Amino acid sequence: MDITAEIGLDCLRQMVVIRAVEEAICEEYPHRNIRGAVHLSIGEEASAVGVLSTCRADDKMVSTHRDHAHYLAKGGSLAGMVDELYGLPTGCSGGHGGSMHLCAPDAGFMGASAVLPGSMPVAVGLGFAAKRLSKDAIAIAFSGDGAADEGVFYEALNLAAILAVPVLFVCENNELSTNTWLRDRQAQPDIAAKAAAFGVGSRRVAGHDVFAVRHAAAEMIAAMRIDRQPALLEVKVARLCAHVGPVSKVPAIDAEAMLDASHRGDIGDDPILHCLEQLIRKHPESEAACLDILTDVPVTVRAEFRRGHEAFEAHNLVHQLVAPPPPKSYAV
Amino acid sequence: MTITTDSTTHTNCDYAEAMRRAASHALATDSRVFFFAEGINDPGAYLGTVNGLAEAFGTDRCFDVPNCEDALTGMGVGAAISGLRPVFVSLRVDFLMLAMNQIVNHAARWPSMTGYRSAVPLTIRALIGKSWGQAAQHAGALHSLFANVPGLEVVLPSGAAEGAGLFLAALESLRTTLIIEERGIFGVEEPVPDELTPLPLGQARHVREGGDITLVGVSSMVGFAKTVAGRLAERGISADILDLRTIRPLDSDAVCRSVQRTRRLAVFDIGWPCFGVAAEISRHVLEAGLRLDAPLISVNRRDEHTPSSCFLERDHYPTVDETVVRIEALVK
Ligand SMILES: Cc1ncc(C[n+]2csc(CCOP(=O)(O)OP(=O)(O)O)c2C)c(N)n1
Ligand SMILES: [Mg+2]
Repeated sequence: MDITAEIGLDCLRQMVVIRAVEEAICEEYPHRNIRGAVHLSIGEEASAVGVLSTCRADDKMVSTHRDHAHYLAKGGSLAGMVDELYGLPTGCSGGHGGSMHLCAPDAGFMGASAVLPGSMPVAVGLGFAAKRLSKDAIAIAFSGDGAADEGVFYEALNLAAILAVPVLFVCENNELSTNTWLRDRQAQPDIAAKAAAFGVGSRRVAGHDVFAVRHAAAEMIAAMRIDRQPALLEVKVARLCAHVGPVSKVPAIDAEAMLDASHRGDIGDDPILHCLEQLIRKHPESEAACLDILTDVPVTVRAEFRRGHEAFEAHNLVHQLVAPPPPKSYAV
Repeated sequence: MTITTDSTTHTNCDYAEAMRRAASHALATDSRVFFFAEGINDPGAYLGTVNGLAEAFGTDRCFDVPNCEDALTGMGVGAAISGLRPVFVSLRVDFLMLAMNQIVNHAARWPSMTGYRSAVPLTIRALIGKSWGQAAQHAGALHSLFANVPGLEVVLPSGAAEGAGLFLAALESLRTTLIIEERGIFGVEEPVPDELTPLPLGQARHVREGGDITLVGVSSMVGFAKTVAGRLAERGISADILDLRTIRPLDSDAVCRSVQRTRRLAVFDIGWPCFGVAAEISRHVLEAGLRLDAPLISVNRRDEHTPSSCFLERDHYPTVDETVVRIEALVK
């Protein structure tokens, strides 16, 4: 895929922001100030960034329990998210939402439902409104493969198709629902084929490749702006973290080591390494900029969490909540 | 509490015609409003409440949809958070049980989850098919299930003029509002204002002035209470009647003011006795520290699922005769 260095670096930066935020959550979580379930997107960043870097602020979307990457990639503010994680009134959802219910209506991130797959029919309504109120805006619904165990997944596809509303259903297929494999849950596990069975055009794309995701999403969205029909994009992702809780399964961001690994082609399933490898191969001159991103972003993000941490402590001077005891495990 | 003192002209019509007029008025004056329901464009569907709307306003303002209550409600949520004013009509409140996920987890909770940065101005009308052998699954009075949930508004109109005014109020409200319409209110003609205006939600209507006992009614049980009051008057007992109009919000002030005067209370609900309107009213009366001079009377359908047989059905619903006897025994 032809990708300019500028777009490539932008995608890299966004993925690194998401990864750095989730690493900061992992570091901060043991202090027991971020309270509540966190579903990380480590390993799945390319799906959010690939799709959402091709859409506009007036394309409205809804997300799921695993909403951090979607929120950030859609343009939600980092400070608003950090404050929300700390339960502060200045959080993007006023402290009512927490990790699973971020929102940034101004950026078109309308909210997230953590009851599977509740956001899908809501997106049909967003698509209906987009068709009514705009000549070419679309709606986007993220879901996981677990959502396709549920009946409403199919109701939403059928309703979107019969009403001809422009909704891009993005199904992030990590083949896991909690820790149960797709093949043990769905008799016919081909998700793109299920959409096709409902008359909804569908595509499948490899989720470790941000440029492939972006290319597929861009083509589908461009078509939807004209034909005003729904479509489903199945993104095959690898969840490189625990289902829930602050547990990453990849090494923390390390600029030198990551550049080294991409040079060697030792990139595994990690979408950030894949992005780096492609960028450096196609645009060798961008290596210095990559290094800057990998070095600077974690510093900025950590500073933001430090601010959040201090704001939490200051807030707690008034409320005097006692820290809960450390958990025995982070398993569900 | 409001006592109608308007000087506008009125025309006699029944509930269906009043609702049809209110719908036309809304569609004509507010381009955000649209109606959808399963089989909405069947002639005579929805007991005549939506007749001719599609012809007058087009099938993109009033359209037929597949049988998928959960997805339809979700679509309503999505359209509502996008700024439209969707109206979903359900042939039976029983069918909304398939939409509980969207009604409770999404419509009611979306504002809270987004820190009250978004509102869900969705209106759901649902019918109760009382009598004519409808049996267990088509005659349910399930309003209390919804009234338990913060974020929802539950309207139980008692007649034609009330229905039209409360429907317009539901459209103006920024919350999700369920209007539950029992068949018993449909056949009765009454004067309806030619110029329809919204009635307040959460303000009971003072139907009849009396000093011996307070009768609090909802839906068709307001008419029932009036009949009972007429019979009581022949026996020298004067009843004060309140039409609650909405059970969430609930005008507990109006109830308490009346009970303070009469010191006797009977509640006329269309639903079951357990956890019903009488229980909620009692909570308010007791929390206000009011004392009754006689035991509370709760008038309900029997605590069983509605039977089909006309013989069994007769025993399922309360009768005026038995209610008059119960109240007489209490007031003497
Ligand atoms: C209706 C419903 N049932 C069960 C759950 C519990 N639950 C939370 S996340 C999850 C896994 C969902 O899997 P998937 O949709 O593939 O998303 P992923 O977690 O893999 O991103 C489950 C079962 C839920 N949130 N909602
Ligand atoms: Mg999954």
